Amino acid sequence: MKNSTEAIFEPFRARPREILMRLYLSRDNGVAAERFDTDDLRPAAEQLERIGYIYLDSVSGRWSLDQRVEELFESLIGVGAVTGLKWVDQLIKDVGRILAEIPRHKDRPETIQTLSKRLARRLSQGSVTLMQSLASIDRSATFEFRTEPDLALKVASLNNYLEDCALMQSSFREIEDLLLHNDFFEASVDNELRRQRSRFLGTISEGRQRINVILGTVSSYLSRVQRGHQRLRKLEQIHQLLVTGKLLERSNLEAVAATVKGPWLSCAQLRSPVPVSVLATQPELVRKVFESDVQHRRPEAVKLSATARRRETVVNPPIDFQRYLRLFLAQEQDLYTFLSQRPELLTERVRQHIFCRMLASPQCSRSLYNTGAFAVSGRWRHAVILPRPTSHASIHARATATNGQAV
Amino acid sequence: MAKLFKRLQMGDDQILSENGDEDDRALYALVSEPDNRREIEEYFEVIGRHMAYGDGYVYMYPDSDEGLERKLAALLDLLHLTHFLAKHLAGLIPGYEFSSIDLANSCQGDADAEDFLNRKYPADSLLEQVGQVLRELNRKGYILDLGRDRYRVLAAVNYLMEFGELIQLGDKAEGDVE
Repeated sequence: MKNSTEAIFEPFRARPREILMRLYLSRDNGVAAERFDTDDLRPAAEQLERIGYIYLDSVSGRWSLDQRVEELFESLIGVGAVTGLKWVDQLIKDVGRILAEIPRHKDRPETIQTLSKRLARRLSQGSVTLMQSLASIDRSATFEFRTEPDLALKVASLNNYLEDCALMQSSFREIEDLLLHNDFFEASVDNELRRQRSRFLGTISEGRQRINVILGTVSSYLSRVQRGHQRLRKLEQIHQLLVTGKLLERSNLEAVAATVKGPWLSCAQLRSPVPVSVLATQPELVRKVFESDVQHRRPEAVKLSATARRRETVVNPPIDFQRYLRLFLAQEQDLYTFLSQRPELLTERVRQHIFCRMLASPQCSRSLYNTGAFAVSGRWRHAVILPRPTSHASIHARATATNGQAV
Repeated sequence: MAKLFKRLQMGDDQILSENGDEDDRALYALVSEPDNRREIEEYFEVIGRHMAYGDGYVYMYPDSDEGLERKLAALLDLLHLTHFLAKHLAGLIPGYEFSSIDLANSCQGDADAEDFLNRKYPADSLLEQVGQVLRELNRKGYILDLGRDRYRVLAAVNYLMEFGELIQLGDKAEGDVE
């Protein structure tokens, strides 16, 4: 029987955290190589699955990691970025201390050799860790920009990263100065030390470039956040007037409304079912559909020129839509191809006219829709028109059934 | 051209963002390429459509406009929505990522937010209302559903936020907005 203290600490003692770390370390593109099939580990993995941190891909049988796991570890690395700075500081102190110690032992070659080895080892570690520290600053700043919900905190945090970068640059100068201007390195015959010194100087040079990139990124984040902050303040003022009903009289809202364009503010919705393949090759034809479309929806809004009107009159043959609809549904070509193959439609203009009228006519469209000749999927209102090749008879029957309202 | 037209004119999601999904990013890169712009603009002018390039987003608009009254009503609606989103989604900065829980937590206890949600998205619980908001924003291309209850704010929101910048406040604010 567990006592209450044991019960409280049970979740922390359990395996999930350990398992999460193992999954994280073995991941490749978010999918972990580690498997936890054994009975004692499986419950812990399932516990992580329940809170949505990992999920099992039933096909591959492998665990995938939720984005939050990446972020969790990135934030831990972010903490490491701060310690990374301290680490560079410590490295400078270590190198300085060793260099200061060397003159005191100039008569003891063995001690000098030991110190040289220690220095080489320290620089070797530095070359690896320096770039890791920079990468973690980069990751942490991006993480902060993406996920911190409080704008003021976000600004403060990004400012801190800018300061970190500036401190890192200053540390670079300091350690570079130590490595470049100390006679010991010039006089040293220890090849390993010379190699590590040269490598570390190269890392610093690379680090400077990297830090400039990070500075650019963080500055851009900061300016976007500050701009967002300003916009929010202005929106708050607008909102105050909006809820008190004074916005119209105390702003240029009317002038703004008269000039702004874009979605939700204009007749931007296309309702004619234009096959996209036709748009790509025949924009003139599609324009005609738009005109017909607008004519059907808002007759008062259409102002056709006299020439256009004349043209309409000339190319307006008596059309038996019902016949064309029936014939169209009984074959497998798209509507335009079908019309192009009709021998009685002699000119391109006539074919285009019938095509446009059929697509723009609400009755005909409805009829096509009812027979299943329109594909409607996802965000498409209407897609390419292709009659279904199966059961022509039933389509025919349905077309006939809708005859009264369709044509 | 057909793909671009289909993306921007067929359906509710009519703004293309630079930080959308993979397809959108590729299409945005193509559209925003200076060498391609003129060709695209000339092509769509034939069918009475014009391209508008904003801060990380692109949309297409037709010659025809709604009447001023309807545009004003639509604009007021958009301002309500933008204020709500900016207040509860960290200033509505493109790139911000959040969950429905984050949004619900931010709205909870905020009288303005609850009033807005009750008016526009009536439902039994705050989480349901937030779910409705997120579905609508996703459908209209202002946020991207990253899956597993994570969402990213897309650059299309700059279109909304720019209204606030165009509006000048003052007793007799008038005039040019260009």
